[in-house]
Amino acid sequence: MADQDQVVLSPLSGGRVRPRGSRRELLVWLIIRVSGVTLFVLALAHFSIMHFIWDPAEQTSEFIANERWNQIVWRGFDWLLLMNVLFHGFLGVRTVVLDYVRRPRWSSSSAPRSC
Amino acid sequence: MSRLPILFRYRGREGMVAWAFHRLSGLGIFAFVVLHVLDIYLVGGNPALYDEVLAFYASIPGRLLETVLGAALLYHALNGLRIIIIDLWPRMTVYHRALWWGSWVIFVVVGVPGALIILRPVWLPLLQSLGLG
Repeated sequence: MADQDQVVLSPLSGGRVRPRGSRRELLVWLIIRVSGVTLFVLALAHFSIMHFIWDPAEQTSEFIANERWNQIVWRGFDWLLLMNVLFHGFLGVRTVVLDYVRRPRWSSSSAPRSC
Repeated sequence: MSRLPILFRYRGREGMVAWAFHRLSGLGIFAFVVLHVLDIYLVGGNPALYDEVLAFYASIPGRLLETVLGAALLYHALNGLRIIIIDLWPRMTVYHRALWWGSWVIFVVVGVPGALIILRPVWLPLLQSLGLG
C-alpha cells in the first residue's frame, strides 16, 4: 500500500508515469501499453470490418457462425482481440479505481502529484 | 477548478483534456465490451434472439450509438498512441502540442467519413426526400 502503487500522471501526455519500485505495477503499466498497441490494430480493424465492409443490416447469426467462426483465421483474430480487450480493459479499470482510492485530496492542488 | 466534477479535476492544458476524454472513453468502451462479450453468446445459445440484437445494431438508434462508440474508440486509440509515443521517446515531448492537434486532425479525417458510412440510412432518405439523392 506504499507510494509505489500510486497512479502518478504525466502533466504532458495525461498518461500514467512509468511506475518505479514495484515490479507488479511496472508489469501492469507494460501490459496496458503492449495490449494498447495491439488493440490499435485489432479493435479498429474489427470495428471497420463490421461497420464499413459488412453493414450490420447484412449480418445474421448464421453469417457469424458459418462465415466468421468457421475460419481459423477469424477465430484466431477474435480470440486475440478478446484476450487483449480483457487484459487492457480490466487493468485500465483497475488503474482508474486505484487513482480514486489513493488520491490524497480532491482539491485541484492535489493533482498531478510528484511529477 | 475545484468546482469541476471529480472526473475532470486535473491540472494542465491539453494534458487535462486528453486525460479526461481518455478516461471517459475508456470507461464507455469497457461498458460496451462487457455487453458485447455477453450478447455474442447468443450466436450459439439463441441465434434467433441474436438476429434481433443485430436488427437493433442496424436500426437508426443503434447506428447513432455505434457512431458514438466508434468516436470513443478512435479517440482512445489515437490518444493512447500519443501517450505511448511521448512515453517511449522523451524527445517527442518537444512536439507534444503538434502530436495532440495531429491526433485530432486524424480523428476528423477518419471519423467524419466513417460516421457518414454508418449513418447512411439516416442521411440518405433525408437527401432523397429533398430530391437530391
